[in-house]
Amino acid sequence: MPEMSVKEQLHHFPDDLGKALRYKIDKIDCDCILLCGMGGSAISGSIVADFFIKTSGIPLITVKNFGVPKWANNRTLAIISSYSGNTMETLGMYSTARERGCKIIAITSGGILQERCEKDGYKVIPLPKNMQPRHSVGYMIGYTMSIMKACGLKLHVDICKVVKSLKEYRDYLESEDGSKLIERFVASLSDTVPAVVTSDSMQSVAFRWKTQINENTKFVAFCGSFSEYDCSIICNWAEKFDRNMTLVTIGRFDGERFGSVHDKHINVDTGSEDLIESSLRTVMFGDYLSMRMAENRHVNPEEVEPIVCLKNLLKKIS
Amino acid sequence: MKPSYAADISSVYSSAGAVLSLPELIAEGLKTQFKVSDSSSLYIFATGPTSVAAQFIADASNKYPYRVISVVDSRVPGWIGEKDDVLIISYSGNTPKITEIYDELRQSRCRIRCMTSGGILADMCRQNGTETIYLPEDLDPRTAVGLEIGITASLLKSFGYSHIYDMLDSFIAPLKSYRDSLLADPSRVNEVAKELSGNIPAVYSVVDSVAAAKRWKLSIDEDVRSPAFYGEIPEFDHNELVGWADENAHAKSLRIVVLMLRSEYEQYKKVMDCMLAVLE
Repeated sequence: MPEMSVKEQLHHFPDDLGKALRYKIDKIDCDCILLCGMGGSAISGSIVADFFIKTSGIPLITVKNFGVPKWANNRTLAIISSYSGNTMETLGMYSTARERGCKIIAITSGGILQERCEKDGYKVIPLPKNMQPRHSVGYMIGYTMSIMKACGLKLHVDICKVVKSLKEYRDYLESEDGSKLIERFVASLSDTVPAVVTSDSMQSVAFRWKTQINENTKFVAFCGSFSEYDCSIICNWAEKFDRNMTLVTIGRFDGERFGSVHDKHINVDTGSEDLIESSLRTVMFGDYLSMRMAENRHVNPEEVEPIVCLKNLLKKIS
Repeated sequence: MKPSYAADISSVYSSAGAVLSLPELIAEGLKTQFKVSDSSSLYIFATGPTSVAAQFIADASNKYPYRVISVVDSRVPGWIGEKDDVLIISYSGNTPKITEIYDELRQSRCRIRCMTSGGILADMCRQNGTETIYLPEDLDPRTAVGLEIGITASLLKSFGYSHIYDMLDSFIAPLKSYRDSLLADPSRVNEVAKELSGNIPAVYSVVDSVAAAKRWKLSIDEDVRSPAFYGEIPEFDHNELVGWADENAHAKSLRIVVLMLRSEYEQYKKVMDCMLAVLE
């Protein structure tokens, strides 16, 4: 893949998703699915788990650790996602899944993970190279959903229609009107710590917002779901403390539930009734917003120096 | 079933009072007897302070070949069915959406047990003959967490998985000594309290003991009436680190608290040391 700017990668999110959804995988027979990954590569598993949690007849468990649970066995499918293929924790999950005899499929652009899978005879779904890991999320969501389909899981919506609608939404976000809307939110979030809260069904999307604000904007941010962040507690925070925190609720119904609790509360409604479409639109909105927030702060969204430093330090002591 | 608590649960408290009686309440919970049965997996539904108990048990179970999943969610996973055991914990029995969760779980035909002090949940259990473990009334929901941990460990023991029960049983005396030592010399506690006073803490712990970080967050939320957040390592050392490493001039009142707890995975010690070096 030719090297693209982060903005171009962002633009291609719905196209990447559409391509990956067409990926064909042979039928998989399993009793449980582990969605293993870290950081940007974990998001796709969490989002897909949110899509299928109510309808799946097979347990879908997200794992972010150095290993998979001890109860995993040869009836368990472990989907190991790592853009670089070199994430230390993800390689740990691969090794323990292999030790426990799990069925394994890796989604990666290369690295040690690809080498090990090829050596051990496990399937690798290749990701394009030269991408920012977190912007490969369109491919990762699409491939993970293709694996779900191979496991017999069904969606309640026509995903092709969703992809078409996402392309239209992308065009809107990149239009003058869309840019103005994003600009308004950028102004509301300027010099504040966002606490992104949503319904349980979109908690993975709130997590995506947090990580994109962390990495693109270089801002600390927090996220949670209504089951964890009780409304009364959040209202109490907002009333009692004026510490440059902004409550951001995302999703249509969530806004209704919250109403306007405080002048430091904003609600983002991306205008869809369907969970899958609404979730993916909200992912896109958060991605564009965090990029625009980075521009506003004059920081480079591509640079993740602290993570590079951490990886170098870990290499030194290993 | 109804455990044979003393009429007044306060008889088991240490002299330090209810809030500091976690070891005594865990020990009390461990006394609960369940009929021995088979089980392949346990899903624990709990939100708010109660979810600390569910998270603690799920974290501790990861080391063993029995599936315990903590569900902090109003959604009932579609795969839960007649082969599964479910424990719904709601101290008040009036947790939002508890009626919908209970009804949906009944339809899935799983084996339901509930742990509560009353409310709508207790009423529904009585109407439907659902096995119920009654918690003493008039406790602070956070104080009840010790009991909930002990009772859930006893339930797992009845399924043939006694590891967590045995671990907790062996920890009661050391936990009491630790609590007493903190009361005798509160200098470290005071030092941390001073550092956090008037600030917003973000408490992190390794993923297999994240219940501790969550407990800190909830206690600060409710006791101090201050915002607090919690998170886990790894994750902190991926995307989050970039946010924290920035100057964050607008957020000077944030404080990171890292709970240096031991993990099943030795690699975490290295990750935490390097992560703290990057932040410094």
